[in-house]
Amino acid sequence: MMDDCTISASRKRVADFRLHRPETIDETCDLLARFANGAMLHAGGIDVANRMKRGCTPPHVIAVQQVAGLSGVRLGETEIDIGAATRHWDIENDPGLHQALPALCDYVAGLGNIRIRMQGTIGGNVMAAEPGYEMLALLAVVKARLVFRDCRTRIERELTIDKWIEIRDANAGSLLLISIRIPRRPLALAWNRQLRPALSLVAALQSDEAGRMRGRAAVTGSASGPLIADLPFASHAADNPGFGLTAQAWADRLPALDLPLGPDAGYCKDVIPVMCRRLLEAMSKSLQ
Amino acid sequence: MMETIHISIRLNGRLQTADIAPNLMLVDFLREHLGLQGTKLACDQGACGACTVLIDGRPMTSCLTFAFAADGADILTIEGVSRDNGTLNQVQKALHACGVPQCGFCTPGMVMMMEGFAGQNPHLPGQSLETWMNANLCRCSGYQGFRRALSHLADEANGS
Amino acid sequence: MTALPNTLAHVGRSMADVNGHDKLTGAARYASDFNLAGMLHAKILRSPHPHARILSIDASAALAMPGVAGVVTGEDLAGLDHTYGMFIRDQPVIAYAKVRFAGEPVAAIAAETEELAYRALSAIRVEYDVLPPVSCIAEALAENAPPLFDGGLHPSALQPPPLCSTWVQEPAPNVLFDFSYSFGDIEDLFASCAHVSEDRFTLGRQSHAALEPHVAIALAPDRDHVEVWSNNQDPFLLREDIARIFGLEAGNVRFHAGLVGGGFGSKSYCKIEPIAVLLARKTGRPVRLALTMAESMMTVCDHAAEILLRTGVSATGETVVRDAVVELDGGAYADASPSVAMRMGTRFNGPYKWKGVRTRVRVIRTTTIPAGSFRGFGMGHVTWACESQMDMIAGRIRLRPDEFRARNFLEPGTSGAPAERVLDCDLTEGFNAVRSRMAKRTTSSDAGRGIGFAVACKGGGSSHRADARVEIHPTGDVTLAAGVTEIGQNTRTILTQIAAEVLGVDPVRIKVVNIDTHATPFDSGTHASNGATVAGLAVRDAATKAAAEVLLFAARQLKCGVEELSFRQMRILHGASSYLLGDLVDPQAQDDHPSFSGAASIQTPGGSLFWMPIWTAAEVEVDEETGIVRLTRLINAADVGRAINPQRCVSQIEGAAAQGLGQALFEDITYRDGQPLTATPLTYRMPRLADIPADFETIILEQGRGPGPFGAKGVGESGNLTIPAAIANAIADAVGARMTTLPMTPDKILRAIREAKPAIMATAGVSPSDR
Repeated sequence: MMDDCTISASRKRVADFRLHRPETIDETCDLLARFANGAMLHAGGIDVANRMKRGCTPPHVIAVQQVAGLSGVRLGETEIDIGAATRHWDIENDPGLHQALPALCDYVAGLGNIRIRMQGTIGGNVMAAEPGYEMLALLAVVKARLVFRDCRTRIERELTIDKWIEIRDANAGSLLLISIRIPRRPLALAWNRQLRPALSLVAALQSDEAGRMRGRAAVTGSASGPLIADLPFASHAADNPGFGLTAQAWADRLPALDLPLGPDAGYCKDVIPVMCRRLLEAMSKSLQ
Repeated sequence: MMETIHISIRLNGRLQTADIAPNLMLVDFLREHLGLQGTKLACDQGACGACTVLIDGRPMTSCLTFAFAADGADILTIEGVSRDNGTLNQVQKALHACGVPQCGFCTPGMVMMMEGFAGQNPHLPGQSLETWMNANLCRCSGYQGFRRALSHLADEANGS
Repeated sequence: MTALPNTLAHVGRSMADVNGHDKLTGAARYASDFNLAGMLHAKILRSPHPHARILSIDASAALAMPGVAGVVTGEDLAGLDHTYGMFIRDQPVIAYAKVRFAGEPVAAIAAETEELAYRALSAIRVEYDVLPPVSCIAEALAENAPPLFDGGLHPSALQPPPLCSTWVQEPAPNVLFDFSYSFGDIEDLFASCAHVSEDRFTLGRQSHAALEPHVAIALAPDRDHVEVWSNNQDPFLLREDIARIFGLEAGNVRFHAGLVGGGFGSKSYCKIEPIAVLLARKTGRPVRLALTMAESMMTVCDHAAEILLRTGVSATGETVVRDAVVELDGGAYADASPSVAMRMGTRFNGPYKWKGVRTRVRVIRTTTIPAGSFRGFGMGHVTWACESQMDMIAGRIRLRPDEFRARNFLEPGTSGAPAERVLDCDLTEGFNAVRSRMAKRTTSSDAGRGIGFAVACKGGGSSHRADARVEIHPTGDVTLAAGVTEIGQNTRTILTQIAAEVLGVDPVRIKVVNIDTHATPFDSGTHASNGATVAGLAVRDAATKAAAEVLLFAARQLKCGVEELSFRQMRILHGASSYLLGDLVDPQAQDDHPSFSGAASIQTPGGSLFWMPIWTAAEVEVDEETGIVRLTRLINAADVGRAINPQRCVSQIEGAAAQGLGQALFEDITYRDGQPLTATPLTYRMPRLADIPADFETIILEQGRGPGPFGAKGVGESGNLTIPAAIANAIADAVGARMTTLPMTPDKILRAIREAKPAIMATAGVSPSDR
């Protein structure tokens, strides 16, 4: 988000608002339905604070950190369910998650910085839709689903990441993110954050229901959301001469990246395939 | 007209209550309402960490934390860190011995970061204070004084 | 490490910072913590346009809002000497008729709270007649470029040019300053050279980004008096500026300065103080104007620049002649640019011997953030170009870069240019120290790894006046008053150690007081690494005089000759007897509680008083597929003459090196369509702990030739100068790609690697088609 220099962003600019602190998901939904697009949800609060410092003036702020059922990591047989208001820090250190999907914990442990992870939540990260934020990219490659409560209809909706990115602009105000569901399948995960904050890459190899290896890569940095591409085919052999081509084909499926603060599209075009290839190599190694 | 919110926090070991506006930021509650000016306000965007305080033992950005969000929490600021008689604690002594601070503006935030880590450890393997301290900016020192202090503290912990 | 033998008690010890305890416990108070009862809070409305005429400003709606006490705009400048600038006074206190950079202050409001002030800002209506932006040097100099100013000369306080140089003020539209320097028969010398290299270099726009933003609290009790608390580095210069602007007696303007949360040159000279004073005078109440860090970054920055460097060397690899043409992007207003240009223009000889040097430095006006003084005063720019080119030349004449430098260093005791102070350090010794340490542990044959060197030498201590006063109290305490501000260079600690050494007292008994221009001795400003040396000399002399006063008094009391007495640890020693000073003071005497004070004033001449050499070796690792570079090792050495406090010297070098690293790899305020893209703490990338290699060594040499107390010299400004070139040289060593533009971001490095590939393969006897 580009800062307007006319009036400086400052916590002293944060406008007045009416604060609501619901206790249950139902109450939260009632509030969201009532105030439609005039409310901001405050989980960790990082994005609410930043946006209001820049001059956003939501008349209502709904604090959800204390809402029952919105936080916590729940390990199921086939999937992991993480409450939207769960702090990154609690995800990265969850003992059950360490057992089940250690790669996920490692990924979260490198998100942002420690202050961000102590305060910020997975749901906040997803819903803020900031170009540089990384959770949506991760969730996309592990084929996670977002569980929403539609506050108009009160009906639960489960959406893939791809679907969410498609519809979110029209629907953000009325959908309350409840939790994130991540499939519990053998997983190799690799990422490259060397070009942060401009962009970061994450890729996953995961077996599907039929037991075949499928791969996905995602790149952050674009204002329209993480750019996601499925791997045309997967190969485990790092010395397979087709390896580099796979990464290139994979990277070619990613839409062009246009970063307002750089690096330029030409550089991204050159470097993303290189990074994809390295991620593929790393993942294949970890599966051997 | 905004309603005020009643908050109750445990601040540096003492119970503190207040009726505050919902849009009051924690850093201003501390510095302006309570006169605790040790916590510094530098970038006001969450980039620098000069405003770091501990909330329930966790280092957090007080310029991005609304005071209402700290309701019910245990807060530690730089004023609560030194020993009661004002002498430096172990972290502060290590920094002092290693050439920190220079201008000192980053320092309370850095100390809180280190205190937060000390409070977490040793429960969490794989965490490193050096990684944590990447969160905070210092423009004067090139971080070397902090590195030396970390090494000093690690040596002390190992009994060397 | 070359170290002088140390028989001193306090000088030479790495004493901890005298304010360290307070800074570590949060007890330290900065200007941003200062409050006055009843003070108003001011906020600034800034221009959204890089270039526009101001047609009208309607603040009536804002003034009508509850809690708003007053608004100032350019109209309030009527009757004032309303511009400032270090040498050329072209910057209005607040925008006047025109705005010349996006972010320029257009109006300022004072209200009961900061919140109210911000809200009122949105109610101010400004009508602009938007003009085309002038975003870079090329645009400023293009034919039919929109002029930022309408012509005519601004009032100036330019000094006569130094020897061998000339300058012209505002010679052409969008050219602020044109400085030329020359010695030797340049063209003849070039004609005599076996090799002539001509290369271009570019620098981005670095921001000081000190953590404590600018703040000023102004109090105007009546039309004739002003009192200000601010974190400015130059309280005495500011006193003069405020007096001049508002038509006051300097003695009726009072400045207070305490601890400053970082300066690096961003808080030098006049900045936001006049706006605070304007509002205080208008509203009749104290006014606090506090910027955000982003606003501070919009207030002043360092110069983007283009440098064309032509250098001639002899057949045997001797440096002969150099010609530099520099264009500095000075931004919208002069600030300290003329001074930066002059310093830069006289120092392209660097640490080497030359038969001739010619420079031309022009400061170009653009509609961007005003550029001013930044740690190094232009020497970073010079070093980037010169030290990069030294390696390029070495490659072309087939000499090793370190060898090429070594055979051309200026000898100690000789002068590098006409009328320049002779070199007071041994460049070869420092270079060898750094060379040998880098060679010891590195196997630079690792793929993608390379080593690079750079050497620089900046002058310091010129044209500086520092006064000091030392008071010895019979209680055993000492008060030290000096006008140099504490911006993080721990100058108070250095001065304390000097006084402790002279007086023979425990440093713990010495207190350095905050600056109050009504009571504190004068200092011409905290820059150019003057603190330890010049203020140090003043403190040394003042302490000596104070001790002499004590002995005179003691001699009267003891009825003996002064020459029989000495003063140590607050005791007067007379033969075998010793008396506590406090006991000699008669409590019944007329002048009860006397203190013994000494004052001293040091004025240094123009031209460098001392030289601050810096030698750097850097090792990098370059990823040839992505252009991502990692600094793996850094070795810096500096000669400090005598280290009054070795730890402090190390800290200065380390901190400066980090800023150099930032400049080298990622710091840059970029512009698009006249708008700054990366001028906020979130978007402007600064070095963090992980960016600094763990393998980071700082060597402090004490070559003993400093003019300061006990042989000391300054060290504050050298550590950042050499880092960019050392890294560029290391990258070239690693992957054969030559970087000539700062910052060296991965995309630029990758491009350079690709461009270098055919050349490398040709040299290696491999044609591209063999791959």
